[in-house]
Amino acid sequence: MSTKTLESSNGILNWWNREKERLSNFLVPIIAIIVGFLVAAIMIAASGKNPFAAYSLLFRGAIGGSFQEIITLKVAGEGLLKGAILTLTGLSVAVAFNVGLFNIGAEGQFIVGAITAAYLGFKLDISPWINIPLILIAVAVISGLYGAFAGWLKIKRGVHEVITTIMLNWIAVNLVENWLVVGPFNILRYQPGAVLAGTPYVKASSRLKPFFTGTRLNASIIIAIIAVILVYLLLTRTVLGYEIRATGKNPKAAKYAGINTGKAMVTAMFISGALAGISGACMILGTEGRYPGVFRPGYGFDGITMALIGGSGAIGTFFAAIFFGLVRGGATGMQLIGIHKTFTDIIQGIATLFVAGQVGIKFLLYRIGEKKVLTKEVAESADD
Amino acid sequence: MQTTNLFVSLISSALQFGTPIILAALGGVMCENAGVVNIALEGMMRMGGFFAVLGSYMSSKGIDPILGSRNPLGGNPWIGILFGIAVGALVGLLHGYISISLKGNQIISGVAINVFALGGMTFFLERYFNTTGHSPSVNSFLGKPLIPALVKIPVVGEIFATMNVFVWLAVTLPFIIHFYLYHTPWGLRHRSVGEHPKAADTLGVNVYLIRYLATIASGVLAGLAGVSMSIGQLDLFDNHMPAGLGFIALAAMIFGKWTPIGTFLASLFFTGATVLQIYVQTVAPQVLKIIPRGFFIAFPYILTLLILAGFVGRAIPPAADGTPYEKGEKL
Repeated sequence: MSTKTLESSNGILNWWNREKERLSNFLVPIIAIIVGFLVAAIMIAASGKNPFAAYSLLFRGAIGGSFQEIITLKVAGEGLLKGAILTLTGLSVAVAFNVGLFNIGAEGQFIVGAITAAYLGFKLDISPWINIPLILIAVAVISGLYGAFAGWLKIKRGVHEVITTIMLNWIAVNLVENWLVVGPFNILRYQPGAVLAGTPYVKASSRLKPFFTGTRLNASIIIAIIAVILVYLLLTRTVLGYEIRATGKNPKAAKYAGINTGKAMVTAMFISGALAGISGACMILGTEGRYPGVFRPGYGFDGITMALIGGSGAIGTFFAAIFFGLVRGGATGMQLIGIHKTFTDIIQGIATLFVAGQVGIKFLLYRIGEKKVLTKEVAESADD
Repeated sequence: MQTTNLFVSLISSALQFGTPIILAALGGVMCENAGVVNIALEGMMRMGGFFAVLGSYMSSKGIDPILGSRNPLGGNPWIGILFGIAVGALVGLLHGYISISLKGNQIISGVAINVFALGGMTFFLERYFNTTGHSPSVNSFLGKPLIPALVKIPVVGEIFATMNVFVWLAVTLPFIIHFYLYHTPWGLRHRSVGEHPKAADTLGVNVYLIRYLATIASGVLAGLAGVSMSIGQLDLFDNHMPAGLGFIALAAMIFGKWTPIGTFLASLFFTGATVLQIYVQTVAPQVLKIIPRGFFIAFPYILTLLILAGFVGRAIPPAADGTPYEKGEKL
C-alpha cells in the first residue's frame, strides 16, 4: 500500500487531527448536552413515562408546533426571553471567571438590580427613550458596586470571594424582601388599599414592551445581545480585557508583568455585578412590571451553569443560555404528562457534569484518528 | 435561674439549628484538606435529605387502613440514615471520579451536582410522593433524644432533650476529625495530600486513594447533614431543602480556616447569631417598629461578613486545594 492512497483516505482524519483541539471546545458542550438529554430520557422511562412524548412536548413548547407559531415567536418568544435573562447572568459569572473569581453572588446582584429598577421605574416618568437607559445605567452602577464590594474585600481584606458573595446574596435578599419591599417601597405607601404584595407597578414609560401581541418577548433580548458583543470585545480586544484574562490565568505572572491585578479584579467584579443587575432589571421592566412580594427566580445561580457550559466566553455563554432558555420555555409543556418543569435542571446538571469531566470526553475525541495515524506512520516508516 | 434557663434554651436551639451546618462544613473540611474543592455540599445535603425520607418510608411494611397504601409512619428511620449515607457516598464517589481520575474542574463538577440535585429531587418527589411540595411525614428522629437519661438532669437537661443522634454527631465529630487530622499518621497523610501531593507521592502515600476516601467521607457527612434536616429537625422532606445551608456550611468552613474545630465554632457563631435575632424578635417585638425585620434576618450574614473583613484576615486554603494531581508531572 502506498503512502499516497493512505493519505487521501485519511484526508478527513488528518484534518480532524489538525483541528481536533480547537473543535473539541465546541464539541464538548454539545456532546455533554446530548448525554444530558439521554440520561434524562432514561430517568423518564424509568418512572414509567414515555420519553419520546415528553421530548416532543418539550420541543413543541420550545420552538412552536406550527409554522405560524414559529414565525410569530409565539412560543419561542418565552424561551428567548428566558434565554436573554440567562445570557446576562451567565455573562456576569463568565466575566468573574475570566479574572479568576467565582461569583456565586450573581443572585444577590440580580436582586439589587431588580429592586433598583422597580423603584426608579415607578419614580421616573419621562419618556421610554430616557427612562429605560437611565434606569439601566443606575442599575449597572448600583449592582456593579455591590459586586465590586466583594472584589474589594478580596484584595484589601483577603476574604474569600465565595464566602463574601454568599453572605451578600442573603443580605440582599433579606434587606430587599423583608425591608424595602414590605416597608419604604411597598405599594401601600403609594396606593393605599391596594391588594397586591410588593412594589407598585412601574410607569408605562419604563416598561419593556412585547414586540408582538401574543408573545412576551421584549427588548431584553436586544439588551442581552448588545451585552454579549460588548463583553466579547472587552475580553478579546481591549487592554482591560487582556489584564482581566492575564490576572485570571496567573495572578503572580500578571503582577510581575506590571498589571495591577487588584484593579483588574475589582473592575471585573464591577462589570460582573452590573451585568447581573441589568438581568434583574430586564425582568422587572419586562415581564414582572414590579418587584413582587417574593422574587427569587434563581437566574443568578443558573448563570453559573451557563458560563460553565459556555466555557466562560461571551459567545459560548450566549449559545448555552439561549439553548437552555428555549428548553425551559418548552419544559412547561411537559407538565401535561406530569413532569415538573424543574426537570430541565436534571438535563442542565448532567450536561454540566460532563463539561466538568471534559478531559474524559476530550480523551475519547482525541483517540478518534489516532490509530489510523499510527498505521500511517508505520506505513511511512516502512516506505523509508 | 431565669437567665440560666434562657441561656440553656439558646444553646439548645443553636445546637439544633447548627447541626446540618456543622456536619456539612465538616464534609467540606475532609474534602478540601485532601485537596479537592467541594462546592457540592448543598446538592449532597439535598439528596441525603430526600433519600433519608425515602428510606424511612420504604422500610414501612404496614398498610395504613385509611390511606389504603403504605403507612408512611411505619418505617425505620435508621434505614433512612443508611439511605442518606449511601447516596452521599455515591455522589462523593462521582465527584471524586471527576475531580481525581478525570482531573476535571472541581468547581464545575460541584455546581453540576447542585443543579442536578435541584431538579432531580423534585423529580423523585413527584415520582414517589406525587407532589412537588413536601413528602408525607415519616418515622423520624424528631423529638427523640439519643440519651433520654440525661434529660432528667436539672437545668441543663433541656439541652439534652433536643439532642437526637445528629446533634450528638455534630458536637463530637469536630473533635474526632481534629484528632484524626492532627494526631494520627493517616491524618498527616491526608493533609499532606492537600498541601503537597507531589511530596506525599514521593514518600509513598497513595494520593489518589486518600483523595477518593476524603471525597467519599465528605459526601457521607454532607448527606448526613441533609438527613439531619429532613428526619432530624423535621419528619419530612420539603422541596426547598436545604435552602442555601450548604453554602452557609461552605462559608463556615472558610471562616473556620479549613480546620474542624474552627469550622465547628464558626458554624456555632453563625447559628448563635441567628438564634439571637429570632429571640430578640420574639421577646421584644416593639423593636421591629424601629429596626425593620429584614435587618434582623440579615444580621447573622452581616455580622459574619464584618468579622471576616475586620478580624479574621486572610483565608488561606490548603496549598493544593482544587488542583488535580497528575502522577509524574513536573512541578
